[in-house]
Formats: sequence, C-alpha cells, structure tokens
Amino acid sequence: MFNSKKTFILFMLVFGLLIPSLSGCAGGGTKAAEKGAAQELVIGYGKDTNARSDEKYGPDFIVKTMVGERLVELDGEKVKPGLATSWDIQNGGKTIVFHLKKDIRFSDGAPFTAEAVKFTHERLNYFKNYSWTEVDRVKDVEIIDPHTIAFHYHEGKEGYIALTAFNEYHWTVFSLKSVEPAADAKGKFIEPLGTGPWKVADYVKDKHTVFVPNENYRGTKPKLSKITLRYIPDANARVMALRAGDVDAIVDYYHGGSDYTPRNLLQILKNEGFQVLKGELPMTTIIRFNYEKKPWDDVKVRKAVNYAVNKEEIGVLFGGWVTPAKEGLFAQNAPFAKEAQAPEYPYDLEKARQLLQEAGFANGLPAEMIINGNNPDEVKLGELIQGQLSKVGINIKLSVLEVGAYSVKQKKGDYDLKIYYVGGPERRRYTRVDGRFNPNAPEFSFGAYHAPEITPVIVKAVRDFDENKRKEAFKEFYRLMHEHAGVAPLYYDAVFMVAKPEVKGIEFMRGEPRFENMCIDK
Amino acid sequence: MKNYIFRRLIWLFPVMLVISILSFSILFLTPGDPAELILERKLQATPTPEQIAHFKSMHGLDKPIPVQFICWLSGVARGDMGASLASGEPVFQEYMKRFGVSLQLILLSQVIAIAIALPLGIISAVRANSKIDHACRLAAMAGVSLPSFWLALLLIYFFSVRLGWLPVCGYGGPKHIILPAVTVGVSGAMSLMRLTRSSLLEVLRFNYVRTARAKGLPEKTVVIRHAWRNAMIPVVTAVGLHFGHVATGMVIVEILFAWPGIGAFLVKAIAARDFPVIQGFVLMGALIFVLLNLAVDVLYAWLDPRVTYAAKGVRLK
Repeated sequence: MFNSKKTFILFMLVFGLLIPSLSGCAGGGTKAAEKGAAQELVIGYGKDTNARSDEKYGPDFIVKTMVGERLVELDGEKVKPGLATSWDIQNGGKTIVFHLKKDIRFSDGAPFTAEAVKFTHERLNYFKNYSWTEVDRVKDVEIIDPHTIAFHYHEGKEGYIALTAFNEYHWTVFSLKSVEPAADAKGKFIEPLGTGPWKVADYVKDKHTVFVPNENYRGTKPKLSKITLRYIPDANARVMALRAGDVDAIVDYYHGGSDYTPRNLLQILKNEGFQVLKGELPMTTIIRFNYEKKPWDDVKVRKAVNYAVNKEEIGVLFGGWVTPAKEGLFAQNAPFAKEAQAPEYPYDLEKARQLLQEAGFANGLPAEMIINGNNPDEVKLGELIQGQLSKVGINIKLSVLEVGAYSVKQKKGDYDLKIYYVGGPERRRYTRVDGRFNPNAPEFSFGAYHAPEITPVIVKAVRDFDENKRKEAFKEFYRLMHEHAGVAPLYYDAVFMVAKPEVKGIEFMRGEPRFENMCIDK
Repeated sequence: MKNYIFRRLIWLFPVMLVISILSFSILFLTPGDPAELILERKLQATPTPEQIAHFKSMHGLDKPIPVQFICWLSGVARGDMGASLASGEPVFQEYMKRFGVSLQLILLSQVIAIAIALPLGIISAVRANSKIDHACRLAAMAGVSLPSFWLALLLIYFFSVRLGWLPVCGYGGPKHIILPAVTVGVSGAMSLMRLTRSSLLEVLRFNYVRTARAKGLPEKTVVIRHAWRNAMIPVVTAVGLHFGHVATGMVIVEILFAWPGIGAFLVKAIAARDFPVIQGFVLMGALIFVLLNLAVDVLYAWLDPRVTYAAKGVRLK
C-alpha cells in the first residue's frame, strides 16, 4: 500500500474537502426546527419564484398575488375596487380616471400614491410588456393629484378590456424603491415591496422563498406567521415531499399547464388522506388546427375532429379530476358562457366519418400533431387523441418535441394540429379572449382561431362598457365559434392544491389559492 | 515533470477555443429562439414581436453570429463570461455559486463510490469464482443497469416517505446530502468495482506476485503491499474520468433532489437557450476535465515511480 505519509496526506485531503459539506451548510435542518412555531406553512412549488432575481420582469405570479395588489380585481363580470376605490369612464371610454385609496403603505413604509401607478405603467411600457396588460392601448398617463390618475387611450383602443387589464398580474403595483435606482422605470428590480398581506422575508434562488405578514397591510391580517415556498422542480419529488411530511402542501403554478401535480396522482393522494382542492379556471384545453393550411381550412374536417373526440375518455385519463368540455368551447365561468348555453359537438363517429367523406377524405387523412415534450399530460393526451381520431381514419403522427424545436415548428406553422388552450386565469378572462381570437391583438402571434366575421364580434364583446351589450356579443361569439368549429375543446382546466388534513382555511379565489385564512390545526 | 505539466497547461488554450467554437456553433444550429423562450417563461405569455426585438437588441442577439462569438470571446479573455439572458447575473458568479454546491455532492458521492468499490472489488478478485465474487458481480451488473432516477426514487420512497429518516429533497443540512450522494455514489461504485476486480485479477497473475507468494508471504500482504498498487493505475484513471463526468453535471439527481447545482441550472439554461450560460458552463466544464486529466497523469507518476513524463511524452524508467 502507500507509505504512511502519503496515506495520511490523501486521507486528510479527502476529509478536509468534505468538512464544508458536513458543517456550516446554510438553512435546512429538521422539519420541526425549520417550522419552529405552530403557524408556519411549508409549500412545495415547481418553479423558482424569482422574488429578487429577475431584474427586468420581477417575480413570479404567486409572489405578485401574495405581496402586491392591483388597481382593480375581477370577480366574474364585476370589476371590484383594489388599490383604486372607484373610477370614472370619461370621453366615451377614451379616459379612465382612477381614484386611489389613501393611507396605504408599501411594506417598506413608503406611501402608495399615483406616482407608483405611473411608474408601473412606464416600466411595462419600457420593457414592451404588452401581453395581457393592454399597455399598448394607452396614449398617455396623467397624474391629477397624489391619489388621482388618468389613463388616456388611443382612438379605437379604449374599452372595457382596458379596465379589466388593470387586474392583470403584471399590473401589480410595487414601491418605487423596488428597483435600483429608485423610481427608474429601466432600473433593476431588486425587491418586491407591495401593499399586499405578505412580504418577502428571505429568498434563496432555486431553494426557497419565505413570506411573513406585511405589518403595513390594512386588510385582514393573515393567521399564519410564516409561509415557506420551497422550490422542488420535479413533480414526483414534490408529491414524495408531501407524503414524507417535508412540506405541508403542494400547489400548482397558477397558470395551469406545466409545473403542476400530475393529475393521475391526485386520487392516490386523496385516498391517503390528503385534502385535494380544485380551483376551476375559465380555461379550456383544445386541439388547435392549423386552420390556414389545407385541409384544416375546411369546416367539415374541423367538425369531423370535434365529433370524433370522446371527451369522457379524457376525463377518465386524468382520473376524473378535470371536467370534459361538454358545455361548449368555454367553461361555465368564462364570460357569459352560462347565459350563452353554447352547444357542443357530441361524440358521434358516424357523423365524423360522413363529414370526412364529404370533404374528400373517405380513405383517410394523415396529420401531424406537435406535442410539448416538457408537459407529461400533453403527451398522454396526444396519445389518447391519436387513438380516438384513428377510428375515423385521421392518422396522427405524434411529434413529441423539446421546447425549442416545438417553438420553431409552431412559429413556422409546420404542423397540422397541436394541443393548446383558450381562456386562462380569471385575471385574463377578457384579455385572453381578445388575444386568442382577435388577429389585431398584439398577443395574437399564437392565437387559436380567427375569421373575418368573428373579429368584429370579439372586438365588441371585450370593449363595450355596457354589460348587456357585452353579453349579447359573447353569445354571438360562442355561436360563431361553434358554427366554425374553429377549435376542438377537450376539457376545462383547473389548478390544484394538495395539503395535509391539518391545514385549514384553504380557499381558491378566482382560481388562485389564498393564504390569508390558512392555519395549521394541531 | 514540470515541463510536462507546463506543456499540458499551454495546450489548454487551443482546446478550450475549439470547444467554445463547437458549442457556439451547435447552439446556433439548435432550433429555438432564446428571446422567445426566455420571454415566454418570464412573462408567462407569448411575447410579441416588439418584445422579442427589444430583448434581442438589449442583449446583442440581433448581431451576426460571428460577431456575437467574437464579442463573447473577447469578454472571456478579459475575464468576463457575460451575463445570463434569463437572470441578468454574471455567468461566472452563477457558476461559482453552484459549483460549490455541486462539489459537495461530487466529493461525498465519490468517497461513497470508492468506499464501496475498492473493498468489494478486492474481495471479489481475491476470492474469484466464489459465492462472494458471484454476488458482487451480480450486484455490479444490477447497479450498472439501474437508471439513477429510479434508484433515487426508490431511496426517497424507503428512507424518506416510509421511514421518515431523511428529507426528500432540498439543499440544507447534512441529512439533505445523504440520499443524492448515495444515488450518485452507488451508480458509480458498480462500474468501478468491476474495473478494480479485473485490474487486480490481472496483476495477481504477474510473476512478481507468484514470487511473493513463493517467498511465503501471507496473502493479505501479497495483495495489499505488492499487487494492489499496480492494480490501482487504471482505477485511478476511471475515478478521474468519472469525477469529470460527474463534475460537469449530475442533472437528473440535481433536479430530482432539488439540489441547486450546476447540472440543474445548465438544463434550465439549455431549455431557455441561455447562450452565455451554456457557453460559460461548457467552458468551465472543459477546463475542469482537462485539469482533472492532468491531475490523474501526475498521480500516475506518484503511484508508479517507474512512470516519468519527459518533454516528448511518457516513458518508463
């Protein structure tokens, strides 16, 4: 063997390098030590919150809704006061004047004034953050006094949608000191200083974000003394962490889509005694046709796909945890969907075959469906759809792609079908309709469907301040979408929170979990 | 030896340059626009063409590819690897933040691998074709065939979920490192064990070993004092190479265990086409690999005094 001196040196080298790993590691510790007092909640989350690390666009949505507030909040068809107590629609909608709440302070103690609102607008504008914020509609912003601010809109860009946009995530108003240098719209975002019920006490990138109650919040104080959002990127690891007791709850990313609890595990967790809470979204997962290329420009072919999809099987695929889209294109909580009572295309293979025959595809129709390989549910869904459509002779080639390759094919229009979605979080119930179906909207680069007779209906539906006129326009929009079979609805989406039985007071408000009333019942 | 080391270090620069050119080229040939992918993730919405154009102009992505490469290279020459397109943080800072975290896992996992592989490999060789040998070889085959993510999930299930002894994931105190280190260590130990066994078996057939036995030395002395040292030479190479592979990213383990190391971060950067991060990490990875290879070569000379390094290469005394 080595002589004793060499052995000793090697031994000391290895263990000397190991010592830092065994001592002085930051954070961590046992579950009990981390939680300390009783009213602390640990939540597993699939994304890093970027609470202090995204210098341009600020933190993730969950931080924005916990830490900040917006001028208004949407509750169904009602626009409710947020940081604004009231607003006046003037000049035919071309001006909206907001009257702001007084005696509101940010978590750093700075007063909330119109200057912070204007700063938020300038920052969105500088980074051209037009998607869903409708900032591109604004011609000018005018501070009338410290608690009154007016937004003036470009001709033809005004409307109800502009008002609802102020409840958008990106419209969360932060203190001027949230950026460095302070009040600089181009500044580096350093700290989410909001007026909401929580504030960020600690943030370690790719590890955790810790929230504590904001002592300056003028609403109902949270019952919890601390919430730790622990970053666990792998969905299975998140579920294991919940089952092992490392976390008290796991919550989906607000948006739906990826970074969520696999639907096929929800029933297993429920059977093990966990609470499974569902927050319905006005969002529908669909098959999006490449309707600008043949044969998907033919309404008969699109209708055939609608008739051939068995939506019940989709519900079964996800363990009954999502609702098959059997009440029309949009979920019942979408704008005026309940009133519209939009029809659906029932499952009817014979009808599908007949339509394909009429369209000239009696001998079959090959098609390529692109799938985002990062989303395991999309892969499962694609395989199911492939099987269903094969029964009527539509032979789908599934292309499961890495995100970059998917993006390229999508952009080039090099596909026939893809799994997509319409609608979105409650905050976007109007802006998403416009963005997905109005080809003139800045967000339409990846729209769902458009047609010349539908565009003016959409514009009317989202712009009119009169609720009854909006309702009629939406009814017409739903009727036209059904006639065109512009997309094939599959299921209505939801977000889920899974928690230990002792976590009480969990509620979803507009599809977002609210933490203010949560507590741990020992 | 000094000349040899100096020459190898000089060669570092052209090697890193070639690797940089190759990785840059591959990045640009890969489908996906970094501006679109990063903005989509940040905004949680499809970016508009104006946003994409603005992002590209802010980060110099609208310049021709050769110009982008030269700008990046001239930055590296000045010690500046640029900033992440996603976070805006300097790439070198991001790397060093994560390197320390990965290093802890690498070191412990390699200690575990060596602690498992060497004793079992020696026992397996010394007791060749016995029941112990068969058991070790079976374990080695199973270990090599087992996907690391499956082993990780099994370990999590038994030790965290069922027994509650260890945390499922996360970076924190000593308990947090055990499961990921065992996952990586066990995976590496099996191939190392097979190599140790075959290497020692070969050395045990040499004449000098037969002479040592003929002299009446106990078998333990024959193996440990005479045979083992020579048998370790290929094992040292394997450990060095393995160390290099592991050092450049234990992606699956880091993601599964939420270990904020290099591998997990690099995967995010690749998905986002965060070019400066990918380039920087590839460069640092190449540097580590080259230096590790050099360290292994130097270790040879220490292990086997017959080996020397002259200006024109290796020769045996």
